[in-house]
Amino acid sequence: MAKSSLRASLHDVAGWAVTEARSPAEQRLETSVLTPAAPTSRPGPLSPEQTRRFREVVLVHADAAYNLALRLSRQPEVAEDIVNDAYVRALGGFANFRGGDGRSWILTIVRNRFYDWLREQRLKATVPLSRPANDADDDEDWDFPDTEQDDPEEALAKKSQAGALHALINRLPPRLREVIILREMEELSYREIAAITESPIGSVMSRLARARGALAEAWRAHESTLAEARP
Amino acid sequence: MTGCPDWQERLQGLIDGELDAAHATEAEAHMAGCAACSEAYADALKLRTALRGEGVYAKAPDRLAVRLDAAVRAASAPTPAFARSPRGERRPERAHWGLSAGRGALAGARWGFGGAGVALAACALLAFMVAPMLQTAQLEQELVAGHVRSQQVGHLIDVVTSDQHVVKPWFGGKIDFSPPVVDLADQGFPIVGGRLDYIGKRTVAAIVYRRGRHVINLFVWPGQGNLGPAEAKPGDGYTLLHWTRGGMTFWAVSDVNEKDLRTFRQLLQARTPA
Repeated sequence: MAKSSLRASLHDVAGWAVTEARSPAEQRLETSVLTPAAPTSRPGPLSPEQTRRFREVVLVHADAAYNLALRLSRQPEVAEDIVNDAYVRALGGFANFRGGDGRSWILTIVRNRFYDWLREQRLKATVPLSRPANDADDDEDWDFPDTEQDDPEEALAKKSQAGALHALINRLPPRLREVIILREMEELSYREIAAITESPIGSVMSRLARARGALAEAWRAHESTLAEARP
Repeated sequence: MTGCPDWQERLQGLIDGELDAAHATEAEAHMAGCAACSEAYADALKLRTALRGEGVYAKAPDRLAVRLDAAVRAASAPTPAFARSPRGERRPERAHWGLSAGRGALAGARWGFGGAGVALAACALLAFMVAPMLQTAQLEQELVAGHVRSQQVGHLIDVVTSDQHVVKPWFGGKIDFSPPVVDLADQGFPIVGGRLDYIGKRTVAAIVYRRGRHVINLFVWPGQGNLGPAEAKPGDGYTLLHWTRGGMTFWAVSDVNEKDLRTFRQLLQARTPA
């Protein structure tokens, strides 16, 4: 089965052609509506009704926002700042929010804030940062070193199952981390993930395949290490 | 293990339930004869179970929840309730209601039995009756808002514990009174934790209980002012019960059914020193 015929078949499902057919410029246009610009002109305060709606539609997803920010940045303090910053922007742009899924909206802003932060780190960094060779399809796909652990193997062996999984996810490049989190933890559809990550659905699928392959392999190795360690 | 290169993407579609029936059948048929792909499929499902397991999903820390709540308040118009009438005129603040009512009563007394005095006295009486009603409505709104807020920001609980002996001392250094913390886990109302809230222009203790999947916020502060009827249903499915005991005012707020909330009140009243 060739890729092209698969893509063609996917278009039949759930109107995906809409997303796939858009040019990158059009996609950017769409997300620029989603993502409020930096608050240069200060918006007026939200009305009580808007505040109530914001709490119900956007603020309820603070856990989702933090989970994504933490898995992307891998540093709790940075994740908190990213989420806070994202919410401040969301508040500023809420008057223009045309309704729809508040979770996708805040996740999109969180993700954009993360890449902004990453770019700032790159500018500040004096040492060239790692750029995984296996994910060369994107210019932004370099990564800041994982500061959470100096010796991954040792940390891995000590940690709980959740901690071990976090360590494994941390080793993936950010483009793979984000698809696996949005798919397996947020349980979003390909279409939603494509919109949030500003990628065609085909890329979402191939990244998912790579992320799953790498994680499953590492997870298997982790489990066999645990099995050997048992008396 | 990633399976056959040509089938990789189709395999993801199958794992994620994003294929139509015809393509799903094709993929399953291929997997039946391909060890690498069926292994990749099984691995992905195992990975999914692990990723959705306990403790993998990070919850926003309480201090972030507080920060976000502050950001929302900062971006919102000040004092939503009673601040402005629909026409934009400022209404007198509640404190003024009480004050003008008092003035009216004094005036009435000074002028003896004159008609104007009687009318003023009647106005004063009315004001005395209306002011507490307005005050109660405002209080109820604040209580429901506090309850909703406690759930919306994820888990706005400053001390998370099921142990009453931890919650009580936690309040110790933070407020100038000591709320009774009663364990009702044996009656199906386990304590989730406690936090401080700001209701009626004062800091109050909020003790958080759970009933099944519902959260009950118990707001406690000293004093026992006249707070109107003991029950209120301000709408949106919330029930408010209030009572006073041992010099403290208690308000229970929840979306749990009324019967359970009344049971909750009975149990608390029975176990709180008078």
